[in-house]
Amino acid sequence: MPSTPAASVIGRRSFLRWSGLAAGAVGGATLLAACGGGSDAGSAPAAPGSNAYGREAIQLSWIKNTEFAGEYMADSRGYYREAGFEGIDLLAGGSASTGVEANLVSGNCWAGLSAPALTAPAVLQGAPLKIVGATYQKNPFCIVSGAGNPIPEPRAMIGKRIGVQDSNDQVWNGLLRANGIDPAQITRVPVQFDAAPLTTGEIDGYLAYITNEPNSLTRRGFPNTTFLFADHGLPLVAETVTVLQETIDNERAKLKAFLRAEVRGWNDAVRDIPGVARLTVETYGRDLGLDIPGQVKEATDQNALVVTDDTRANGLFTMTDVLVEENLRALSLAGSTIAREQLFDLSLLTEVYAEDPSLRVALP
Amino acid sequence: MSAPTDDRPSGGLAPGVAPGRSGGGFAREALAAVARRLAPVAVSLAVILVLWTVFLQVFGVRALIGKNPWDVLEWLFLLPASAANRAQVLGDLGVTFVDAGIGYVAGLVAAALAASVFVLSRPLEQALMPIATLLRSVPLVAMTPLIVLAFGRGLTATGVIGAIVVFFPALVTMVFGLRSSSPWAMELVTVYGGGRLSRLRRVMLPSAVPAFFAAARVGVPAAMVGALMAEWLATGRGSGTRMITAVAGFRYIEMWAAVTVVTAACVAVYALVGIIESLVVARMGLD
Repeated sequence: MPSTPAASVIGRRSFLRWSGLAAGAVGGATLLAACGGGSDAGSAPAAPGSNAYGREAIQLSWIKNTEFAGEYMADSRGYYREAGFEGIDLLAGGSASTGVEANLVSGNCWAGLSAPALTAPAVLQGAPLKIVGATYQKNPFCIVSGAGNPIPEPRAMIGKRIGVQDSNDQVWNGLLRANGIDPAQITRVPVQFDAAPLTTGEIDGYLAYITNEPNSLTRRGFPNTTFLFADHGLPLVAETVTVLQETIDNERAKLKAFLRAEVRGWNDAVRDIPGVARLTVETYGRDLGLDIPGQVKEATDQNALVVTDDTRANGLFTMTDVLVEENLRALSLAGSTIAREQLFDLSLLTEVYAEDPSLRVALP
Repeated sequence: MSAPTDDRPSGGLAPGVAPGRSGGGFAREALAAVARRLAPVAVSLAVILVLWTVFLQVFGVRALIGKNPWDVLEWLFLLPASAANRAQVLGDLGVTFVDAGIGYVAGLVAAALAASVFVLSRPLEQALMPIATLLRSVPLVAMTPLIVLAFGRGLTATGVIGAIVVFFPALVTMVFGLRSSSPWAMELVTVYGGGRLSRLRRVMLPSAVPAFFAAARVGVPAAMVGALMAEWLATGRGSGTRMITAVAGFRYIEMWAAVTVVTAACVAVYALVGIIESLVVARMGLD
């Protein structure tokens, strides 16, 4: 939860006069405070269950719903431990949390699940980060609108009020650029992660995850129309495994062991939707008030983003050269022109699958 | 800043140029007042710069995220793109100034009116003060969606959010100021047949001027914070929104520049209110 900044200004006036203003300036910065995170040497493979790789924190891109089904499987079935980790802490993300990129750079997490539209600008600013695999082959960003006032494609947004979260600023601007829409033609309304303004008629469209809000709106009796960013010029991957370059350089074996556990977890997740929903509702997302039918629907929709002809052939998390090129083109449209080797290092995943062909299972 | 005390019964009764003080003396006093107010501003700014730099060092914030004063200075003045950067930051600041100004004025006026009513009628104060307290104890982040539902996302909503932040501390300070007027002066008005309203007008309001200014100074950073929050949650414009979108795009320098400029503006306005206060207080002979 965000704290109330206003609280900091109530103080004795004599105190404020001298130090209150100065304290206010520094107060904002404490939010960004970094705590150093240690990591062991991981250049050599660890014996299974040896705990040699210690505990590491993984920053998730969102709250703990089914989006991280594979991580829940890997954690609950002990795949991380078998890979040599003492444990993996899954850190929930969300609207008010610090981004994956900032947490990686600050040493607050060892790896994170992010998106190229967030990682690429950070790399261009000098953050030494790499994407080593992609859970979602297709990004789930969409614009959801009421069935009575439908927005079936980007240009239909012109003249309407669209709710956009500040944290999705990058993909939103990318969508407009990719479709030649002048931002001035649309009324952008700041929203948080609640689609209620759509149901009250305050806005005509809402930037959502196709797996998430459209389903919950339908269940609440609000029939809706959606269009995917991926179908309109932004074929970006999402839920990308992102790490520091130094992790690849210094802890290659450890990172590969982690990726292997990730693949095992997701192989299970896509083949066991009821299990995923139960694990999410009853264990990992217990505090979120999720329900089984909702998470079953979400996990089913999610499979369409994770399991494609390419991942059936090459394995989960992999990206074909064509997909990488498409992503770089889309990023360029979104304002981040970046070279393949600056952003992606898929060699670890290639090695993981080459060393253990049994990871390539029959996917649904 | 001290509240008037009982040993200065003349203060409230004769607002205006104090006896024996010439025009030239006032001008000199005014200059001295400006100097007195500017010295703390310089100290504030120096303290901010030192704390900022030390903070980044002590907590080891990575340079990619934690920008130091020099980085901000460079971004604003020394790069080829600096002119555009300044235009962006100042444009945002202008929006935030308007947003903050509306809430500031609305909050202070409402507080002054409420404080006057409260000192005239104690039962009313006892009935309404808890509501004012309640208004301020609900976190604004939680209240903003309701305010947006009721007032939309325009200047009205911004004004309401700002006013709520400014109102409560101002109200408490002003009620205190109004109540601390000299009892002898009050009795004098009563003896001459003045009622409650005359006592308020002739004694309480003039002697509460220092308290009003205290509230006005405290209200400056409060209004600014209120405006930033309103911009983030309601309007999607100005410095408040810039700080958030800059972080989302990993453009931390933009966030630091926005924070720097807003803080500097806050210090400047705070000092300005202090200068006006000194002049008014000197003019009224209250100091």
